[in-house]
Amino acid sequence: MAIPQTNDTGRRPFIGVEPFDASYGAGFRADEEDEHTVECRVVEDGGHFRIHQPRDAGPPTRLCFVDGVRRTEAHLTRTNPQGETITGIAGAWGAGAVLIGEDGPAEIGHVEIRRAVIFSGGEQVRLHPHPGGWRWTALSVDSEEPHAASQHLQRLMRDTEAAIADHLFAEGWLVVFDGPLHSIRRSRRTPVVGYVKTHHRRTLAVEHWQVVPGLLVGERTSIFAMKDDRYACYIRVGDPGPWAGPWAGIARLEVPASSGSAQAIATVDRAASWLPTFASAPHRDARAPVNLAPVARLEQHLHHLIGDSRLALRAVREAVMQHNRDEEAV
Amino acid sequence: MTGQDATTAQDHRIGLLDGSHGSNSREFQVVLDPGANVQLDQLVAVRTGLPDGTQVTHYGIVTELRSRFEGADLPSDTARVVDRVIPAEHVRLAEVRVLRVVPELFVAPNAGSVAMRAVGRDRTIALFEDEMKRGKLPVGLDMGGEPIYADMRFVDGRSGGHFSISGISGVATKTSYALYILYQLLETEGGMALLGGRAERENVRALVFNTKGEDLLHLDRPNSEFPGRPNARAQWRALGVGDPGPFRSVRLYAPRRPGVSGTVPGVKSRDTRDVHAYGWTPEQFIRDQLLQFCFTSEDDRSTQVGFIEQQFRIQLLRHLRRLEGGESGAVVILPTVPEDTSFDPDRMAAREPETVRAGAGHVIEDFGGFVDFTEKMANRDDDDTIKAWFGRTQAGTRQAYLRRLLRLRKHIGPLIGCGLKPVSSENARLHVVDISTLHDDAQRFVVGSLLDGVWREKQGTGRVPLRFVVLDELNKYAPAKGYSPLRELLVDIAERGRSLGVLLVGAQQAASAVAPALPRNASLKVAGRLDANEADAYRFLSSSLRERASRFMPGTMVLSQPIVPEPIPLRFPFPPFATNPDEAVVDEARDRERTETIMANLGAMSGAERGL
Repeated sequence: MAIPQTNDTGRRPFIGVEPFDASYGAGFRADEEDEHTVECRVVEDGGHFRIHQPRDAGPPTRLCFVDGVRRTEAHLTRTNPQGETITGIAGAWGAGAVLIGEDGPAEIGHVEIRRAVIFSGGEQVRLHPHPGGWRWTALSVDSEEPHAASQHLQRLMRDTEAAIADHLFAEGWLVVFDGPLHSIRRSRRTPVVGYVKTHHRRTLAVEHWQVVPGLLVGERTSIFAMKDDRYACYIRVGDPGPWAGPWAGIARLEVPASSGSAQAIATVDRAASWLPTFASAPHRDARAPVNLAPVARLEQHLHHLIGDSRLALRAVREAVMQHNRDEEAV
Repeated sequence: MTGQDATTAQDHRIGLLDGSHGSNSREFQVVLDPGANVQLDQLVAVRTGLPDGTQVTHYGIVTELRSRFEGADLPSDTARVVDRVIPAEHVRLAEVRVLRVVPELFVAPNAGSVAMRAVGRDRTIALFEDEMKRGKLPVGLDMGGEPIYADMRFVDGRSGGHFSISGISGVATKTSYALYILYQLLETEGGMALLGGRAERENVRALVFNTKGEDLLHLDRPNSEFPGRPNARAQWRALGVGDPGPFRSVRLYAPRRPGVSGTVPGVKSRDTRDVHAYGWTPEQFIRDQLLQFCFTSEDDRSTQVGFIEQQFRIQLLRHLRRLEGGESGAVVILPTVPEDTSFDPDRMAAREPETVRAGAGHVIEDFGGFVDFTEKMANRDDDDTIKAWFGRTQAGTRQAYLRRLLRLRKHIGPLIGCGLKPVSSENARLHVVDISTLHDDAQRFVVGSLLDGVWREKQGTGRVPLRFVVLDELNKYAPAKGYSPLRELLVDIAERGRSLGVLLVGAQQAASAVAPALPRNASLKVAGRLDANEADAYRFLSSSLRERASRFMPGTMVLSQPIVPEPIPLRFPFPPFATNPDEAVVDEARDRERTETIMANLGAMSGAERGL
């Protein structure tokens, strides 16, 4: 990792520890010479990049977090009488929301759990439902790329998340979507906020980029335009501890540009005021503080609902056995 | 399931059987519905279908309730949930112990089954009331105010008998509970039916020993605090008693006033005319062999003193004659008797003694006279006489025997004398005997003498008519260790009493301090507030119930009975009868009548001033 340094800040070099558990990789991966580096245009404060302390928006109400999980449960093959073999997967995905309403406890809702058998090469295979309660939708992808089926599973999860998010912001919730907004393909109006935890590339001019680690908890930067469709800003969600690197605890918020900058500013101000409340604690989250506590709990819940992976594999095997027997009988 | 059943099941549904925890044939856990209102001790029914189509119903009792946030992994997550930072589901669980399975199949209820409140017919089955075919005694109300019954077969001695009531003094309400049971049996319509009708009930007797103040000498009076407790009347009604009031058939006894030679009872809170003085004549003392109950403390039996007592008691019977010209019970002990006189105490006791003149031997008219006679015998220097009366004991042992007797003179003295009448079992169903003013030795003497009387009377008569004996502080009369005639008598009653219709309602602070045979033979075991240190001794309670019993409030008890496998906590209503002098409603009409009599007498004496 290298933090771009153009000016001597007068500080001595120092070492930081990434707050993410090593198995998650680094939260900050924006090496200086990355080919994906872009330098976005600042659209607030007359083009000057500043740090804002948003007004306290009071206790969070009608705020929700949307997230999903997925799992490949079995890798499948299908061999035709000519001896040609195509691959596929049996997988599960789920999505849901944590709703923080006007009052009462935070609740998990709008949960959807689905399973599918996805074969590449455009062929669908229908497995019988398993008496233990397992059932699969038959799907296919045209591509024969080895990862095409897995990518389709990811897409299915994102679609389900998007449908839930759609539904909720139609009802007037401030929707925090775990991940960048570009995965929501349709254009959106605020209030929907993409929440990005990892920094893969530099998005700002170096002099602006260097300002970002100076954020204190609850502060945000000026908003800038990412491509044509999104506005974004950085916020510091939580204090990662004195050992952490400068970008630890920083997340990027993305809002759709379609509603205009004034609406975007109002939305990120509200989110920046509320989100530090939900920052996770290092002792209970391997990606603290930026992995938000309600999202972590939602993921845990969704994984729980998806069920035991060993049982899922057994169910796939039995359903496949049944399928092969039926084929032979025909 | 019919349509009606389905509606009922829906109405009484409390939740689903926990499938994450698993159930077994003895206990299961219910995940409560959000709206379910469930407390400890509630009865639950779960219907399960077996693979062969058999429908099984598990009946159980809620023994513990739990609440937690599902999704909160760490204690500190609680605040996060409350602050709405992380979502969690509030789950409430009820632990249930199985009381009964109908039909009797040893299976576990299915996970995911619907758990219902057991009401109506279900409640009846859960508590085995359908099995109580020979009558059921209302023993209290459950926490929801519904009556709990005990199988009468285990109350009246047919299949079992005896109550053992344990708990800390003052808060465990042991005596009050014993009286509640007696009231149900002796004073209510329901009790009369259970005892076999009016005629049978009239023959039932209950002997109650009053050990504290003059509290129980007011049971025949209404409780002045009762009208101020409207709930109590409703509770009595729930227990089948429409018009609760004082005990109506009561006879009260107290020892005669100390230092007075007459037969005036020593009572302060009652008119002496309401209470009978009790005691034994010297003839009864000897013929009923009450001397054995003079030596009941532990050290008396660990030495040769007990042996002397036995020897001396038999000789007294052999030499016993009635004093001529007196019907007051004075006796004469002859110096010698024919050699063929029997040594069988029971045979001699049964025989009417012959009458002799005062000059024929040593006259005994009270306990002092008896002690004097003993002293005279002990000081004889004629070896044969000593051997006959004291056995082959050392002079030191004889002196020890004498010293103890001298010590008893003060304590037992007032209880023995000419003209005294013992506690009779006639004329009333409830007999209250005050022993509160007596020394420990004298208390044991009275309890032993009276129980021995009841026991002897019942030998050979069969189970009915029933005799109930209420005795608090059992540990004093039948301690866990040692030997005394009183302890052996109580153990005998505990073991054989139920078939002879002598039923003990015993109470103690700690079951561990009592001869194990007593609590073991009690069919109905009741505990009020228990000492937390002692709770180990109550194996009939589950560990959680033992712990809970150490926090019971007065009036809350737990009852274990043979046919119901789990003890059931219960409450009993406030008594309509006075259980201490402060509660007693004074009978104003009677007081007025007495005042008038006194005034009239005074007036008669003063004659001319009558007009004033």
